[in-house]
Amino acid sequence: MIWTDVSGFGSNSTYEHDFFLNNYDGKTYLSRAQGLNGIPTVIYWGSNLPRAYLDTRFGDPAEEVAYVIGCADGDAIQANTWYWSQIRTDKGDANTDKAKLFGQLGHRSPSWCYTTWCVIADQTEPIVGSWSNPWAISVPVDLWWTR
Amino acid sequence: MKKKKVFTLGLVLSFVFLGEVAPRLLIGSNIKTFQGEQRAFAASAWKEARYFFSGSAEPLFWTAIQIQDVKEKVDTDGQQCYEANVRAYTLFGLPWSSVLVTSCNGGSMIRQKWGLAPTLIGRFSDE
Repeated sequence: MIWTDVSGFGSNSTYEHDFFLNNYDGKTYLSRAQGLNGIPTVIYWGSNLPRAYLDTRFGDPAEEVAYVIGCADGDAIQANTWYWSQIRTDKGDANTDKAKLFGQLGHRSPSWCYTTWCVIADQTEPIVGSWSNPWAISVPVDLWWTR
Repeated sequence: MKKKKVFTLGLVLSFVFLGEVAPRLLIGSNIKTFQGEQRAFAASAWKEARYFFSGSAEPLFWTAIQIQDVKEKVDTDGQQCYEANVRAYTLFGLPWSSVLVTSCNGGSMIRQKWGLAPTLIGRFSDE
């Protein structure tokens, strides 16, 4: 990921790169395993985003499965700097799947807390696809996007 | 003395239980009050709002989610689109938060300044 304009981030702001797999058919390309706290059970996750965290699925309905890495310190994101995030999981029970990608701005509450539990959503927009066509990504895929 | 303590504890637990359960039973989604495409959008907006209000500790605070209204709009390239005001309620049905869900211009969800959430958990645009 690369931002050319970071003026939208404030001192308390957060960003989540919300990737969802379609589970309306009860099957997903990646494992849906998670802990009781909703944190996905993964082989590996990592990111060079400032104060990165693996997002919980706590409270999410089961039909759309989130694989999300967030940045709890949006203010520290630098313009024109490459950022990466990676989640590696076990195989799921589908050979192909549909996915959607949203971007979410939020804030920390309380502001001194940098975990997934303290990140509150304020605004969400599709990055790939649109509201009327959200499942625009066929999985597996290599995809470049600009927003 | 012991009886009084048990009674008080029971009263408090019943009070909290009612506050938690009553909104879940009494505040419906409202989806069925809309017709045709408006109903389809209301269902979609309600589901997306559930994701919006989840994925943090926030689900501990809300007890019910309801579509307040659905409006037909026209987006910048002349296409018909919809906008829904979706509200979340907390204990005893008190207002918690609201999100404006729109399919216009690609779509977005934006939290509104409504309910107790802006006071209790803040709001990005207040900075």
